[in-house]
Amino acid sequence: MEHFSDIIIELFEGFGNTVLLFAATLVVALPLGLLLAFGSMSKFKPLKWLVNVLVWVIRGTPLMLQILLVSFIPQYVFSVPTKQLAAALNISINTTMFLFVAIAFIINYACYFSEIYRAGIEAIPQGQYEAGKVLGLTKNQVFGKIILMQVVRRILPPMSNEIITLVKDTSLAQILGVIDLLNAAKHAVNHYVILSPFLYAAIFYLIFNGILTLLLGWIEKKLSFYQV
Amino acid sequence: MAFFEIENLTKSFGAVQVLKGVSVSLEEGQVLAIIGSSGGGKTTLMRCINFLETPDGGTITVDGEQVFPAEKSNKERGKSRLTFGMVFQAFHLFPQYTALKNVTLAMDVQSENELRERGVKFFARKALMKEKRAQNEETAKALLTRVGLEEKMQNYPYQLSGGQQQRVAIARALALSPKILCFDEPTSALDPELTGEVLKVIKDLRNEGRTMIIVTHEMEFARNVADKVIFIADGEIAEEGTPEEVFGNPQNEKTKHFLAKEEV
Ligand SMILES: Nc1ncnc2c1ncn2[C@@H]1O[C@H](COP(=O)(O)OP(=O)(O)O)[C@@H](O)[C@H]1O
Ligand SMILES: [Mg+2]
Repeated sequence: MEHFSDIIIELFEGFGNTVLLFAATLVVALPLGLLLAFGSMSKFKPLKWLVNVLVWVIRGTPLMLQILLVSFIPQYVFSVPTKQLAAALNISINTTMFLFVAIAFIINYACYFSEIYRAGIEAIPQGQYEAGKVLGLTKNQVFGKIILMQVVRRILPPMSNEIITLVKDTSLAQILGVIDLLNAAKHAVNHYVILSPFLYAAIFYLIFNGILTLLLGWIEKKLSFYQV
Repeated sequence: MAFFEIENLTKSFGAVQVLKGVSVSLEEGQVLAIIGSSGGGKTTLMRCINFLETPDGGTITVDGEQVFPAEKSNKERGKSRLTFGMVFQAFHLFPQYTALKNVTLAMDVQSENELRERGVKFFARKALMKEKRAQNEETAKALLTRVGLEEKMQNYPYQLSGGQQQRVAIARALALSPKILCFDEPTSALDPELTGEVLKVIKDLRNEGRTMIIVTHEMEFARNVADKVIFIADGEIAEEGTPEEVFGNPQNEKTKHFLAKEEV
């Protein structure tokens, strides 16, 4: 136990990156997913087709592959080595790697979210739209004041599942050397030649997911004030 | 020209012509009952009147103003008053709102639209909306009381019986004082013992002089409440007249056949 506090501090640093990646993915992918969902339901066929293909490809290939692909694109497609890119953006290599991971996560999760949104939106009966329309509401007003809340309530359970999965997926960030929680634990295991950092990391994940589960459960309960 | 006039309305779905040139007129304060067997095009006609379907041809005129094809855009017309209100067979109440909020929703949206059009800025608008909301709520409470639901204003739709839900839907449709109130089989989704309370509300509205168009399978009700009855078969008006004429002395074979079936 002599290195306990050192190990915990290192894990906290890694955990910071894990939470950052988690939060960045949610904040961008949640609205982006809704846009993709609208795209996939668009009456404009080329857009609908494009979005559907994107979602199919992203959902059909490993997230790890997508992370690697994003990290190689600047160098292989635009002939800009990562170092040069980092210098141009005036950020460190580590931050650049984190950005690559975040971009891949955002695209990947936006696609998964879009399918959840779409199923939720399509489950709302046509009568709800028509009732809004005959009351003189515009399309946007119908969506904002009548449909959205019902969609949120419907999609919360599948969204919750996806969000819990995201917490665990963040460990893929280490493929680009990002020091996330699991990578920090791995370093500690190698450095101190003990297994306990893995156990601590597991506890971190469990507590994080436990809090999320409680929070999401609470929101679900709050939204259950009505039945359909 | 009559208060409400449809001229030669046509509508096809793909190759199937569902409305084959329907013309009908109605005076202000009168009630039009539409009867006919299933698949005849009654719902399609109602949906065309309420802009839920776009007719292929024909005109709709209300109060001297052509609303289809529209002379003015909806915005220009100013929505201080809706032209049509609609009550659906399956109610379509908003499940996440109380009975009261179901009724106030459109009024609040409308109030905010008006303020926006007058150029009132965001914060000023939000401040003014407080007062407007309170006013709208009073109006909504009066409407819900009128349909006999003063006890149920704070209930959600799932907590109400079908008959109560349909009465909320009627109050909701009345909220923006439409010139013409439309009903598409308002009691067809209800248990027989619940139809009475809804039909009574419609009768009361008639006695107040509301202009209404009602698609119904309740022949007795149509006979009592309507000033004019049309019988629609295969997308055409097969018979038209006063209730006495249509029910008492039908001319068309299809009408006779239909009414004979309905008697039993
Ligand atoms: N959206 C639609 N697409 C295709 N056919 C439709 C549609 N709506 C109605 N129809 C057809 O139009 C005919 C008239 O239907 P409807 O207006 O619902 O009659 P009613 O209300 O008198 O029973 C029916 O044959 C029906 O199948
Ligand atoms: Mg019908």
